[in-house]
Amino acid sequence: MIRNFIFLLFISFAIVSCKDNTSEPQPVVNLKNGVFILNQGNFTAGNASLSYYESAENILYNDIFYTINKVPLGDVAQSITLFNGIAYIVVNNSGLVYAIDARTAEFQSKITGLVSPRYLLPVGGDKAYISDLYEKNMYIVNLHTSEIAGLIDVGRSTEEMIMAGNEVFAANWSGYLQSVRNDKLLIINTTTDLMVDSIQVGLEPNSMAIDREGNLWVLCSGGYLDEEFPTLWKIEPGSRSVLVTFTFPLINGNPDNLEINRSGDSLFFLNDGVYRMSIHDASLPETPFILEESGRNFLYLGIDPNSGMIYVSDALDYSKNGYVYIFNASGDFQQEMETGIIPGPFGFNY
Amino acid sequence: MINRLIYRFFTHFLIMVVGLIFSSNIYAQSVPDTILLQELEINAQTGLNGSVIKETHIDSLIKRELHHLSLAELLGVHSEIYVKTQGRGGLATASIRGAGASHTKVLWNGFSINSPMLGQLDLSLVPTSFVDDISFSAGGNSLVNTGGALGGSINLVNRPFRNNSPLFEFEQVFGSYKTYATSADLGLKNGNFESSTRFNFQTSENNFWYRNNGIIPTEWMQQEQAGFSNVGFTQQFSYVPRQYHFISLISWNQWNKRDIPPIMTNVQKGGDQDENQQDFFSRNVINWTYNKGATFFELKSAVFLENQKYNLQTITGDETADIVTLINSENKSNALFIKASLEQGFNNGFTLTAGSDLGINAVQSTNYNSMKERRLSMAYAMIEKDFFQRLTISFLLRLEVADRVLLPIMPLFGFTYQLFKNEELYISGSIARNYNLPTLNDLYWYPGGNPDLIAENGIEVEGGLNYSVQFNNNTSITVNLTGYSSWINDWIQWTPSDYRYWTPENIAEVYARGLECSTEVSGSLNAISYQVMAAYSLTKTTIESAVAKIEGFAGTQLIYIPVHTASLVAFANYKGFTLNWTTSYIGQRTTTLDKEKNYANALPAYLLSNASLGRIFTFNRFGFELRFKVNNIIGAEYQAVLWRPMPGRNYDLILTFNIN
Repeated sequence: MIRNFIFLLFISFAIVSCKDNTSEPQPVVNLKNGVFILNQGNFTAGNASLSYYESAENILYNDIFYTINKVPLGDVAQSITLFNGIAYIVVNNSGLVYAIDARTAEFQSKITGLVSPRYLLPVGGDKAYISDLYEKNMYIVNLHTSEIAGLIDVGRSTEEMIMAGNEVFAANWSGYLQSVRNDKLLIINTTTDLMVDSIQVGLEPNSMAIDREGNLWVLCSGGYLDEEFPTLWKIEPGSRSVLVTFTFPLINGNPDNLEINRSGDSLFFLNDGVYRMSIHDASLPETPFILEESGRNFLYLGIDPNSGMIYVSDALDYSKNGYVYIFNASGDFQQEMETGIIPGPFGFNY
Repeated sequence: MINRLIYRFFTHFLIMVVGLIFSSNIYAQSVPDTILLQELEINAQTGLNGSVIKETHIDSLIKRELHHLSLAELLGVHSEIYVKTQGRGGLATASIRGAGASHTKVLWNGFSINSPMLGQLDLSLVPTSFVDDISFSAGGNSLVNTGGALGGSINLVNRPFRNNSPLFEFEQVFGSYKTYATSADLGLKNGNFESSTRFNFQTSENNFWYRNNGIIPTEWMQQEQAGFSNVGFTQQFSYVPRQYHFISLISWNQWNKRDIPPIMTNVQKGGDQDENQQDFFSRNVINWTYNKGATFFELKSAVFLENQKYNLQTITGDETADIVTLINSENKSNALFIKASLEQGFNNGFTLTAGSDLGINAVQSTNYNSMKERRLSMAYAMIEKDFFQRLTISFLLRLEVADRVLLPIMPLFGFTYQLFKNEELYISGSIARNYNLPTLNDLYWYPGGNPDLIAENGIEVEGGLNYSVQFNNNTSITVNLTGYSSWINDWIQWTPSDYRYWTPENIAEVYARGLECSTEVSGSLNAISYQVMAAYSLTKTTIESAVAKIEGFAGTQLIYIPVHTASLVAFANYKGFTLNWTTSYIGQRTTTLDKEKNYANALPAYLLSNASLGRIFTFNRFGFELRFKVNNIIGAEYQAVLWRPMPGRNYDLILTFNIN
């Protein structure tokens, strides 16, 4: 009997099979107008992903980066920028930027060797700047060659950037590893690629917008540990003059995700709800434009530049798929969609 | 009749398990190809037949075979314990019966060596060669050793006397990826005094090649920044002052260094990032034991010191190339324990066991805003009664006080019954309640710690059958079958708070249930002695909290807990030639609680096989053994942790010399 067992043992050993048991999803080849939804994923888990929603067709594609390119997006997808038919995805903890075709999601090129990249901003021609959380420099990159062309010494970490004229305003959002207050906008001349000036704003500037009158709006959360009251600043960028400063009523409020509509006259931001205000309002809105219902936790905000539809993400418990809620321009709820883990920045594709 | 039935059952069971292991479809990862994963699911081993409290001892042959490795690899081969590992030398934690790593208490000579901060123990930092006996108790069976082990406890014991152990033993290992390990063991005896000195040194560059399909383009590359080195020693003194008494002192000191590599998706990062961990610990236990007849009394004390440093740094991209330290974390923890226990047997079949512990943990950490302490007091009593030498009933009560807060009583009630008088066939069952304190990180991490947390609690029921038989030709067969079911409430989970940081809450409810089957046959055929062990575990551990039900993910298997696991271990010895074969099957594991599975949240199942061939030479008192080992024979590509690569086929050459 024992002999039979040994025989069976060796026979069984010879019978090993591999089978690919997953069904390959049908690749998408032509994305219609819509919005990229970046799913950040968990830090050091490498489970970031990319979703795409075709708004007119009401079709949602999850995991589209992997579906088309057969590799994962990476570790903490931080931001997405659409430029000249290319979607540039900054993958923060993977230290790279992927460039994909905005209509096919096919990989085009990548920029690697970055330390902790956060946002990418094209500044003219093939040149772009990349902000970084750990470096005291910003990167100058060539979008055509996908190489780092140089560094801009700014002395602080940088986060979101916005361009006004031939100057880039970069927010020093994080106070990590710096002894000075993180309350400045750093101003870089895009012709010389040198930092030329700075503007002091509130603690922890997190997002910016430029209105139809060319004024720069900066939203500041007041600090990671709620050290100060949050503030909203209106600045004339050329003269650096602060035109108006709004102070939020609650010190533990965390307003962020400042956005502006296509016509440049209405500002939106998140603060436990979606708030809306005119660029000419004399005070902050007291009540939310869209309520954050119980059980929901608004994380990122996007305003469709064409339709005015409002997209809000919800990461739930941050460890499984999140949701994106869609509201019309009047703030009425339309639908919700299940996306990837920690759905975040939106990249509208028109 | 019974023997024939059991023999046929064993036959069919072994065929089933072997067929399962070797003939099952291995689902290749449709997603990024999995990298070799050292994660092994261990399945049940045989327990003590007539004991109510089930304690499973690691087989001595397996321990001998893996003497040069850590507890992570040892438990990963042969037990009901699931070891989640980041590879040889990397962080490895244990989960028993689907519970969390902090629900697995590791006891060294009776004292818990789990980190008071994290509540876990890194098994890769425990050399197998430093411990004599290794056993584990699952579920409520652990209550006799410690409270809080909602999954179970792993018990590491150093015997005070060497008895038949060699006088001197030296082992040298040469392995793939520049892996070297040296261990030595020296025993001295003079009258009533014994000394035992052990030394262990391990180092590896761990620079294996792997296929990285986490980046574009997919390419073969060499693992970098994954080296490790550990060096340590134990010194034990034992003394018999007079009959029935002995005193023992043991000190275990170890220095560890480990580089932590980036995950596969992050290898193109700039800044030449360097992430590493270093630690030193000194664990010391002194005990006095009195053992006469049916009386066993022990008084012991332990002092543990540990200093752990974690560093993450990068280099700026400008001309200065400055080193920027991103994280420089240091944790110092000290602990002092005193424990007394008494076991007394009585002629009428009663056995009384009672004990009491006092302890204090103190932690100084850069992650806390001040030094934190925890004071613990524990007491337990167990009565065991034997009826007609066939039925044994046990009842245990355990009390714990933590920082002057009394936890609810932890009771255990169990029985074992010999079904037939002349057959070693036992049926057993038990029910127990257990509580696990929040860790110091849960309470005091800054920011986010929650000092209002309460203890996690669980109720577990288990039942089983155990059978063993020995035939005239020295062949013996043991079969074990156990089923269990447990509810764990107030499971601590870190979640986003109203602020910008996360905070732990008692919110999760988990239902764990499963089946553990194992069998073992040993004997000899002519000049060949053999031992074969096969096991299978079914582990269903699902989340059942109110939030999960509302959000529609109730019933989802917890992450990194495979539902199906199996193992086969075989030894053979023929005139000094030794052959060992080990195969483990690890089922699919999920990495999120989403119901829909894809490449990122479902790690495919895999099969891992190792084999070794050796030759033992003996001359008078001298012994010499040469062994060649092949790990991951089929070169499987797998992942234990998402995007952590694992080595392919690799080799070890092991040379052992001893003097008896």
